[in-house]
Amino acid sequence: MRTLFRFISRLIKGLNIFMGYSGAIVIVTVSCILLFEVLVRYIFSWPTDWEIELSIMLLIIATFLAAGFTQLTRGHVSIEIIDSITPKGLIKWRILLSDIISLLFCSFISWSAWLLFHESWTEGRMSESAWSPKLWPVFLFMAIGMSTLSLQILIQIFEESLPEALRRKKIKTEHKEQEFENME
Amino acid sequence: MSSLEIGLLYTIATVVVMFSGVPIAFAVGTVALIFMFIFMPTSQVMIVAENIYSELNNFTLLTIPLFIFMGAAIGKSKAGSDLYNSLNRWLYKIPGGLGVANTIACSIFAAMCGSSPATCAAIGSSGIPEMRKRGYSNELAAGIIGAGGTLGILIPPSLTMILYGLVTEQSIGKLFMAGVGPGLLLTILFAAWVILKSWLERRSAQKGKGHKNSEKLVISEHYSWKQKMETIPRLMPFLLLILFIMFALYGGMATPSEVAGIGAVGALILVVAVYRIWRWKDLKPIFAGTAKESSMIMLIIGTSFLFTYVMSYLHITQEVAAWLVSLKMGKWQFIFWINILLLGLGCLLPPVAIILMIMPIILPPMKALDIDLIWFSAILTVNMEMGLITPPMGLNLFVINGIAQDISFKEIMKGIIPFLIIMTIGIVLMCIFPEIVLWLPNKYKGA
Repeated sequence: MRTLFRFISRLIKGLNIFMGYSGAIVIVTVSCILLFEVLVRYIFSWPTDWEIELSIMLLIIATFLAAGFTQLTRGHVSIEIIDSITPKGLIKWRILLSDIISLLFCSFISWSAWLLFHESWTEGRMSESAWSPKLWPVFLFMAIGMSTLSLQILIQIFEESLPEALRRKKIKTEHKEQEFENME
Repeated sequence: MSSLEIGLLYTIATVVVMFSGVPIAFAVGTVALIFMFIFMPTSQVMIVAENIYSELNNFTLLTIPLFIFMGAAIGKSKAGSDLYNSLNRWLYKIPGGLGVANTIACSIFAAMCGSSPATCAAIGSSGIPEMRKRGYSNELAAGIIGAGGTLGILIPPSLTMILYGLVTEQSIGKLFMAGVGPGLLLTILFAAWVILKSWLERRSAQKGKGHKNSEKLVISEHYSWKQKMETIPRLMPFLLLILFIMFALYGGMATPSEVAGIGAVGALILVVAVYRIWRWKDLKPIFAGTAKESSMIMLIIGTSFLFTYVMSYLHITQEVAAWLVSLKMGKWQFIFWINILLLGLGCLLPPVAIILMIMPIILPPMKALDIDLIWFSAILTVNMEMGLITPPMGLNLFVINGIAQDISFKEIMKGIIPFLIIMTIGIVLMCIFPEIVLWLPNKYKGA
């Protein structure tokens, strides 16, 4: 069971790293598309509808692709000021609680994004612009990104925050037991 | 339950969830979602992902990841240290020349990148050790980089200005121009303080009363014209990139998003050509930094929009704005209290979240009081800069702590306080002389 969990954990981490770098490459691609767009507009006076819309779509995709990668290093900025006045034993529980809240939120958004993808896929939903591309690829990456982000948080709960919280409790219990023995 | 009561509950819930350490992007989203479940129809809850998508589906927002990429490309190269080393060779005769060189390097770097922590890290990673090596006190070295780094969000391109423009529907070009005057003003004021402080430190060193490393301040440097000129070829491409960005943006050649795209490609080409960064292992930190910062900021933007959407749907925004108008405060009284509020929030939240969550509320009273929104953008940004170097959430403080771990928090704060006072003076000057902000945007006729 433990081996299976380790395998899944490494798989998700690897996937998030791959998706994170892919997200950055998507951003580089967008830069090149915009450079192309400005050049063809100036040199050939071509209409440039698709370049801008594609760029926006790709950047939304990049945002969600890199969400899990950012979580991997706990790069989503948070306020931890309360830790300076919280007893040490409670900090671990605070981290566990904040991870659970994050997981619930991200899982809900993943579910909502999968619904959105399913709906746009079945209905063949398109953008309302002149270029009118199909929208399902954006929603698909949104759903995948939020799902891998949720899985990353879940893994961090099982690998970091939950064992930490329980370990502290165990140490405390051991201390108490020792104190009790000493008292005896 | 009235909208104001719901608003109060909404604020309390946000504070509780945020302070529990939930990442800001997920915290504001969670609170919005809970209130959607309780107070809004189920149909609204079902389309929450679509709401986030439609808010991110914006041409102006394109600018943010692209400017982040541009900043990361230049920031992860040695451009930062080249910048202040070259400037030092030209400014070494001035007392505190190296400190002034670092301040100006921060301003120039800020013109290539829209983020304050990125500016702070790019210049400070080699600037702080170099200043300490040459006898600068820990406080002064930390203060120069901490405060200088904040110029990242004031001098264009600025991520803060882009979001402000989006929320207040002002021209991004004009807002960028509004940052130039205050950026120069703060650079001059910072440099003046650095000159004065280093002169004082040098005098104490000469009397043998300086800090333990201060004897090195007395050692005089000399650079020949040849040494000065040889720095130019390395700097010229980056200065040309800045000039190109300014020209493309203000000459009406391209929109800010397009300029960001071109600038990002340009920065990557320069980094590859000048610093030979082309191997995957060298490019990796640039890509990783870009992906993480973009995703972090864009998710905060997406969920903050959801947060304000709920506020607006439940009429909280409208009610609070109407209440603020009913207080019948004078213009300056309102500006004073808003500055206090923003400063308080700036100490806790990143500028991105503050602008998206607070601006919709204070915008109607600002319009009612006829406050110039372009002018206020600079006041707000300097205020946000102060938040970036004020504990507990001052991001730049963490960057300095990461660069120089042996500088104590007390020393960092001691070095930062004079700069906080200077920034307050800067805000007062901008209030007395609005032309500092408005002169350039008023000259600019573009959209």
